[in-house]
Amino acid sequence: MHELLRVHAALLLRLARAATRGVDADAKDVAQEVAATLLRMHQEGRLDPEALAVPEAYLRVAVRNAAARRARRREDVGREPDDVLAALDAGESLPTPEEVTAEAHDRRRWLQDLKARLRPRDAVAFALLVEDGLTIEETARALGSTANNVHQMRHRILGVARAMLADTTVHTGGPP
Amino acid sequence: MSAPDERALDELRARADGAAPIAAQGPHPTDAELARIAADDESPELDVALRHLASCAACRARLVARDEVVTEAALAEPRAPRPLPRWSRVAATAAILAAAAAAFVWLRPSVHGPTYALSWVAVEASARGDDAGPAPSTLRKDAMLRLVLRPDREGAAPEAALFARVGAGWVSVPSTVVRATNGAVRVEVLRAALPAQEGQTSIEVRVLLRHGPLGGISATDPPGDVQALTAVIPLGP
Repeated sequence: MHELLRVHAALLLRLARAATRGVDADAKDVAQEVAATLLRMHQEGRLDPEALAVPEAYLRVAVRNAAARRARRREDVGREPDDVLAALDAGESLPTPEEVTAEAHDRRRWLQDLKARLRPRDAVAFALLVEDGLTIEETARALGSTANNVHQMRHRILGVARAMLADTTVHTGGPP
Repeated sequence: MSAPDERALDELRARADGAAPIAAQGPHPTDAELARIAADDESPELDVALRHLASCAACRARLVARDEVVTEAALAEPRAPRPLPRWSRVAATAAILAAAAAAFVWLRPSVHGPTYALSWVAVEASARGDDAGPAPSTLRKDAMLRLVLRPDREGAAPEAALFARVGAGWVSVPSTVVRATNGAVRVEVLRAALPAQEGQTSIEVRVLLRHGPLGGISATDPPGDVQALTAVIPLGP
């Protein structure tokens, strides 16, 4: 669990920032709360290993729940302490896995195909630009590259994506 | 970015938003591998790590956060001094000017330095055959001269002696100080009766200055510790 948290610490903070609309102090609190809850559940044997098969998905839901609890806690001022504690206890349960539709699986498969056709570094640039929503400059900084290079990467990515979309349209009559 | 490219990227983002999460492929790269990727290292041996990064949001977050950590480290390094507040800049400027003024006062030349000026102010009516002239045929021009003197460190003005050229030599001319003002410099206005000959168009005058007695000094060849100032006063019709 410690190793999982070490590897996912940065992602946890990024998700927490997104969930708290970029308020850094709130994001750190949320991230710490999720990490502490995970550790406690792991020690108490309440954590289902299957739930962490895709840690990103699990953490995404856990962070969303923690941020919602935090927002509720602010509204709890003036409520009876027992009610607040009960609400907290209720919130500290395993996140409910989100239902994954067949369409979502198709989309993921398509994205994986696209990344497989790209050069390794272009595939990372694609993930940073498209899946993580980074700007050209942020992507260049992360890859130690220049904005011009990332522009070229994006050009190659879009070329492959257009070719795949055209291929999909010809064979299936529309993209997945 | 062109509009079609922007649209295409937005479409891809929308597709990624609705995509199912997947487990990452392969082992998580080490921090050293991430550092090499972040340094734009294109070695083929990093391809496995790059393929993993493309599928692992956690490691991409590590890569981006690594950059963030570097940025924070850079920010923690000594920075260029911030600009001072306005009042501090004014105070600093005043202090510098005061120091410069103090240095100027302390280092200013003594009375022997070349820091004097002599100019004429006015030449008044003349009187023929005055006995005070060096020769019976000379005229006498009442002249007003302005003498600018820089006092020494103790504030004392030098001794001054006025001469007027007559022919090839100089004759001493008595003068009186009609006005004097003291400040950073001392300005004296002298009145003197300058000898002149009929038809002369100008009078050359010379003031010798020395911080000490001036008696018996020749205006033609003054000693080295004597400052000589010369001015030419035009004589109007």
